[in-house]
Amino acid sequence: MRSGDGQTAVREFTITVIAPVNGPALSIRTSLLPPALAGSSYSPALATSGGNGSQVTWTMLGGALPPGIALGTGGLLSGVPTAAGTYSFTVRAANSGQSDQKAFTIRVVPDDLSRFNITRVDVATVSSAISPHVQAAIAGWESAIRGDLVHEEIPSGFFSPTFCDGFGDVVNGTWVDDVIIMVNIASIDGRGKILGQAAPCGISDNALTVVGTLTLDADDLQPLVGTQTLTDIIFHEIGHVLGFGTLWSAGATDLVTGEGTSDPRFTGPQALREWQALGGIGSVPLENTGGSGTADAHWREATFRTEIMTGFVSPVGTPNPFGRITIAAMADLGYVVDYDAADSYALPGGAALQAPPADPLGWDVADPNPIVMLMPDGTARLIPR
Amino acid sequence: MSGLRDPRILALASLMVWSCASAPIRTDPAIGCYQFEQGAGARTLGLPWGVELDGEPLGPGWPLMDDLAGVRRARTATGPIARDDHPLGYWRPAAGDSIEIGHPGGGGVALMLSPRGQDLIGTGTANGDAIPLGSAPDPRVARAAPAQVVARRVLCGAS
Repeated sequence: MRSGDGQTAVREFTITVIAPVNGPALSIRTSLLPPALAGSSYSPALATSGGNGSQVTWTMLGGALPPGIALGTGGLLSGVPTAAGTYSFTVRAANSGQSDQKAFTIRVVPDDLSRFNITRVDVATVSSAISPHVQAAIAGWESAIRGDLVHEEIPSGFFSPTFCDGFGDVVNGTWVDDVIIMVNIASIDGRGKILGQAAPCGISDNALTVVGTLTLDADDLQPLVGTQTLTDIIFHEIGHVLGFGTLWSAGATDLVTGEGTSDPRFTGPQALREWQALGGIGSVPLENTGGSGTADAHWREATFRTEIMTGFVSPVGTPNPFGRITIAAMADLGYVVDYDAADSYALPGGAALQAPPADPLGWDVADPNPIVMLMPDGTARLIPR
Repeated sequence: MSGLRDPRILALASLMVWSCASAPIRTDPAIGCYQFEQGAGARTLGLPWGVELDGEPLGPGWPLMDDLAGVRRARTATGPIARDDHPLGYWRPAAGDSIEIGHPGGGGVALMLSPRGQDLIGTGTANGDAIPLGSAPDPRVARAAPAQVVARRVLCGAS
């Protein structure tokens, strides 16, 4: 150091950098626990993040675990739950000098092997205004699919946390009867455009969905609350979770021909039978507009119009019937179905006959006018191209 | 003066006034008919032959559009003359001089186009809801990349 008058003083200092005493804060990373199946083993593991590297010990702080389930000091919940119900409790994770605590709920669902069951897991807050729509949509599918399918274990660590729309670890360490659907409500793209998206993210040996995700755009829900349209939209998305348009190529037999062309068709024999009963010819027309996620994965809007599994929803106030042909398509996937769950549905006037064109129409089709077919009784029938 | 009292001319004049009053008000230069160039982008998005942007308000039954500004009806052109209600059913002003075109119930595709001369040029994104098994861990990330869209202005009703 030099002073203003030119004098100089020198002294040595030492600075010792030491590690922080506690390191990054210890935080319980697990956000949700999977539902448990009564009578089946349960083994999800709680996890932390951060911490100073010392061993973490888990303890119960309050509440009650389901009968039959215990919390290990390493954070593993394990055992066989014996009674259905909803159980809330709080756990504490602590190491040498740090701790965190969090409340959890475990829902133990009865193991009902007599029917097809959808277990709903809300991975985001589903408001009391939205929840009845979700429940009604689930009930609709549970009435249309009757046969019990699988009783299957998802081992701990089976799904990576990034899988299943980022909620893969929410279902690890439990058993499934028959399907778990994770319901997420998140902002996707503002008002309109994407209302929801749905995907199977795990299938069983029978190539049917065991775990799937349903994401609804939070920005689109409020204007639709209280309408049948919202229930129909959620029902439609659950159809995709269960495999409509998403598992048609996953099984031993590909159920679609002409994917990516202007004339994709569904070829499942049971849907074909219902198509013919509606007056259709050839295989069943699939959507040929709208790009990925719409084309090839829905009934063709120009033919089926209001049917619930077309790619475009009808205006609010217009029914979206659940046709026998959709139930038949689920049967083609391998589900045991009940056609009594179908709504009354007929093809809109003039749209019945859709023979596959000998030469599929190109995208630059110039003549969109319908073909006029003279019927044996002397009447004319318009056949849309 | 005497000619204006001619009942035939008065009838014609009143018909012209009625016609003008009931016709859509052409206040936006984007109003008109467009044919999509059928390139790779249009194929990726499954675009139809074209689109007609008109000045009419969107009809009832589309609550998602209710509080968006400037929403008007679009009609999907399946050919030079034929029209349908999907995949395109509305259009509205968007950022800058661009417009958004899509389906008022959501899904399908959304186009974001800007004027270039008489035409509209921009991108479109698939908004489909069905995500096939294994296509991506996060459907929102799996959204298709925007594809190039060129819409050439054509006379309505002409190819």
